[in-house]
Amino acid sequence: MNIKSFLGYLVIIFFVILFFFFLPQPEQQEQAQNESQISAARGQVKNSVKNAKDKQGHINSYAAFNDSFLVRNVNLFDGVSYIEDVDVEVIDQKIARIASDIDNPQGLNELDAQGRYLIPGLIDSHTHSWGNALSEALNFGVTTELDMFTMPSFSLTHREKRGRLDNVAQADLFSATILATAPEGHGTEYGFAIPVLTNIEQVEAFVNDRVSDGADYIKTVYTSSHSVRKHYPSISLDILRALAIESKKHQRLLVVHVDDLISAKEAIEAGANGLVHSFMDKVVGDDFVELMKSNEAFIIPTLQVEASIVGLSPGRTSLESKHLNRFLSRQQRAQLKASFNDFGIPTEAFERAKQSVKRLFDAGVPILAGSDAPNPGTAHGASLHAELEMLVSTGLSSEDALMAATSIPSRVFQLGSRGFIQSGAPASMLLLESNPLENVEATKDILAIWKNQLTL
Amino acid sequence: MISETIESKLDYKPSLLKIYQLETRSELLKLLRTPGFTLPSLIFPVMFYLFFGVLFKMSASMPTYLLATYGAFGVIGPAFFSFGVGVAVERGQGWFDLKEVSPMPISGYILARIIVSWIFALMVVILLFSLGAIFGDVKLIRSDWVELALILTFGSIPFCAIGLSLGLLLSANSAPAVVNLIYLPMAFLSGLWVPINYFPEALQSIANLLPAYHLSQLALGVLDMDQGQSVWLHVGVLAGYLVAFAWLARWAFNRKDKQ
Repeated sequence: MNIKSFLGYLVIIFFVILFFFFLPQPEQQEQAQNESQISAARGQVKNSVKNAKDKQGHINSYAAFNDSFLVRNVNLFDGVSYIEDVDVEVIDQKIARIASDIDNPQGLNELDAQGRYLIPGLIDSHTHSWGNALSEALNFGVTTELDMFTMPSFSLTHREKRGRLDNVAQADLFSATILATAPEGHGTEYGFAIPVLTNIEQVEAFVNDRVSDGADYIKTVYTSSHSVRKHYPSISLDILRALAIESKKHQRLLVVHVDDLISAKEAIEAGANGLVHSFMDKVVGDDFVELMKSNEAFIIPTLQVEASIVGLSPGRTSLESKHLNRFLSRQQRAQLKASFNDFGIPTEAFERAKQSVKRLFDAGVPILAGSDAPNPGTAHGASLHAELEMLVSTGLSSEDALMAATSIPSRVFQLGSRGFIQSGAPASMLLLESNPLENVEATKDILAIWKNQLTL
Repeated sequence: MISETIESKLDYKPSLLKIYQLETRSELLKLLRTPGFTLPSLIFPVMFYLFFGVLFKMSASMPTYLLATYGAFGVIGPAFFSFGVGVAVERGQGWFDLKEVSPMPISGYILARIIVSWIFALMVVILLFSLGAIFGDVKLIRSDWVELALILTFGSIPFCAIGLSLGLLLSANSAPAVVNLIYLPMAFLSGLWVPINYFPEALQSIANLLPAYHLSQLALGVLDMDQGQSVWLHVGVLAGYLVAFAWLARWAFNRKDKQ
């Protein structure tokens, strides 16, 4: 080989190497470190076998306490109130008696829970569930998910299962099925062909169809024509009003995704029962708080996803928690590390959402804990714990946060005994090592999970 | 003086390295001058990627995801076509026998083809990366870009072995059709065109048997977008295919002489 061709090869190699230096890198954000940031790809998640085995090893000592047993001397939070040092009896997968010093004539296995805490299985009030979502959620103690947009094929399959006592390997699912949106509106960008609303005449049929699809409530997306930022095309205010009327006819709540205060105000005035996101453009004023109160409306702030949008990486808490970390699948880790495209919203805006939550809470507006999993920065189950911590950081007490994930969503969405530990309810509960009312982070240190019976 | 020159030339022993270099260079030039090879190899993956990854993308992360899967698709092409079709055609033309009786060892023939196939794989990777970066807004940290490129290019080598077996067993006439019949369905069923997530469970399990699936999973693993299976499973399957088909190629090569 002569010098000329040798040099020629060198030049080519040089340019190839140079090429790799020109390839774009993501903007450096605090948590980037040495990991790539990519929005999580959507799709089926295969739960790694490792998780199930971990769980198996973790709760082997509780195997004797399956469908009929007696929990002794536990500190109980039943969804509403706190009772120290009490016994809980479970017979055939249902809570039987809750009292001090219960007698045990049948000789049920007795679980000595002295110094430990029992709380109801948690409810995540805003998720998007498909694939393995429900079993992933259960891994982290979430026994009910309120889905806000999924395909009817998924929701129908799981709707059928949720009332059954043998549905022990996954959370119960309630769903809005397909959300109501405008052509090219939010919800249409995920590649699924969904029906959209262009005029008011379609609303009746749309709501009928959702109810036949098994919708437990109706969800819609609305942006006011007066909004400063319009992310996506939106249904009109008239259509929103019609949705409220039609939903009420079917005795379904209407919940609304809004991105700003003016849209929230118009939505509640139009008859929506609740908001499924908080907003970051303005802190709520007294008039809005009054409006929510007089309409008996509620809010699911989904602070997780708001924080993720401004780049605060809320997924980190779950990744760094040793209690949660070992149950996260690879896909969930990717979801927690992922981030949104930059919308140009400053991080300070997130503080407004937090202040709004506190003001609404102080006025008595029901606050529900929802994660909006599995959006970038979140993962099913794990992120609900992070949401509880974030609610506490706005000024709520740990007890308030716990209620936001148990009794409050249960009452608002009429989920029956889910979110409560009471006589006659299926035994869906979590045994915790330390007191979640003192420190809400204790919800992560789970010793055992029961979903109708001892779970996987 | 003239006799000295002739004698010094006769003393000149061809080094193995020089043989490899020459064979590689000529193989490269030959392929570069064969539009029937270069155009499909380079343009098909690029076209597919532009269509499905950029124009019709279904989510913000599709361009990144498809970079890995169409990258896998793109690097298998040169391996299959230069080996699978190229060798079969050369056998038909008589070139193969000529090279066999030449002083060049058979290792030179194979090695040169592998290197050239690797170079084409790199070209495909560079093209796809450029498109992804420019049109797909793909952003990865530098080490991920490099890691992805290395996995894709070197990951094409087991497919060289498969191609070689095919090339030695197929006739020159049937080779292009058969190779395509294997390449395209395998690529599709391995989830290289439509993400494997969208397949029903039964089809997803079939993918586990296919080497292209494992290559794409290794590539997706760099991006944290894989199915969560063990890296060693994928490496193992690819290594298994490499060994099995290398052995098959050797058998086919020896059998040919006995005919």
